[in-house]
Amino acid sequence: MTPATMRSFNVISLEAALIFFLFLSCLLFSIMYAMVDNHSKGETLLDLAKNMKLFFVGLILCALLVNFLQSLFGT
Amino acid sequence: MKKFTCVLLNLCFPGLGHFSVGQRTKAIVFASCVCLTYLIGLSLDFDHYYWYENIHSQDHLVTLQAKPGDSPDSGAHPLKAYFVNPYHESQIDIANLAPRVSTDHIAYFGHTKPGLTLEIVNENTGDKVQTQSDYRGFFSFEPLELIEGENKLTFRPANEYFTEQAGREIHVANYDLSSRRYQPGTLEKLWHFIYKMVFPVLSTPVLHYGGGVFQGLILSWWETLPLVVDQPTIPAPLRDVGFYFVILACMFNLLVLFDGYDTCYNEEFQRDLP
Repeated sequence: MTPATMRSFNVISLEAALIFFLFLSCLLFSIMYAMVDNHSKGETLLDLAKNMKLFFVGLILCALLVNFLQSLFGT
Repeated sequence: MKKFTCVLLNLCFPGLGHFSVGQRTKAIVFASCVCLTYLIGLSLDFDHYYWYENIHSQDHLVTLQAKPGDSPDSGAHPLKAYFVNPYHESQIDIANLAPRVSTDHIAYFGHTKPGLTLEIVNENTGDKVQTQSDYRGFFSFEPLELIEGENKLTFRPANEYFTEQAGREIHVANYDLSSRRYQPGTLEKLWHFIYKMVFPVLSTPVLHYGGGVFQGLILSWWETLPLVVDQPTIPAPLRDVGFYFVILACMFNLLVLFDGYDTCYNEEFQRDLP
């Protein structure tokens, strides 16, 4: 695959890249803490799912808040 | 004793202590998470192995053996990547440094701290050329004129850098402490300490030294696989993300150290119970 062909795949925006890295860091953090805090596999997976759910809820709430503030004060 | 051994092993490589006490799954997960975090950080933050100080000037003696004008002028060297290990190389690495040359114009190229402004001065003629390294740290000078015989060349960061856009020389921060221009404040001294002591210890020696090789291998990855559309270099926010990932890897390893100690302590405590 040539660099020119590879370049055609670069379609994501900077915001998408930043959200991807935010998600990745949260996932890694959740895995680490779930492994430290729990001893059984079931508990670990449950804790991981709970953390990721909180992450997505927080992300959506932050996005809504930012949109609301932007509608009030402009971009 | 076991708990201290566990901490020491975890200081050699993340998860090694846990592996030694039989917690293999935990060890593999910890090692994978820390390594992935650290390598993602290094793939975005190319400045990691360059401190904010001690970028000294270098002198080099070059002898021109042919008569001037014998050979055609060489053009500027095309800016191309070559393998460098940012951890081991000198602060300003010139790739085509030779004690004897046969052309009266020579274009030097090499690698240094990303974005650094550089200059070469021929002390014998007073001739000076300047350039700036790109986001990967690679740079290429315009051809420098040499005279027959010995030429004393000085490679150094350019404190007064001429920009075509401004049409004049602008002052650039100098990281050479000996010149007394760069005087770090308390906060920057704290960063120096973190760079010199905290990063190498908490990221473990294997990752710290191995990271240089990894970074040397992927210096040009953005040219092949640019993540963000229409960006010729890694955007500044993503470079910051890389830096945060390196810090995150260090924090993860701190967590691994504490967990290893805690686990072994609990095991010993339970064993000693009557």
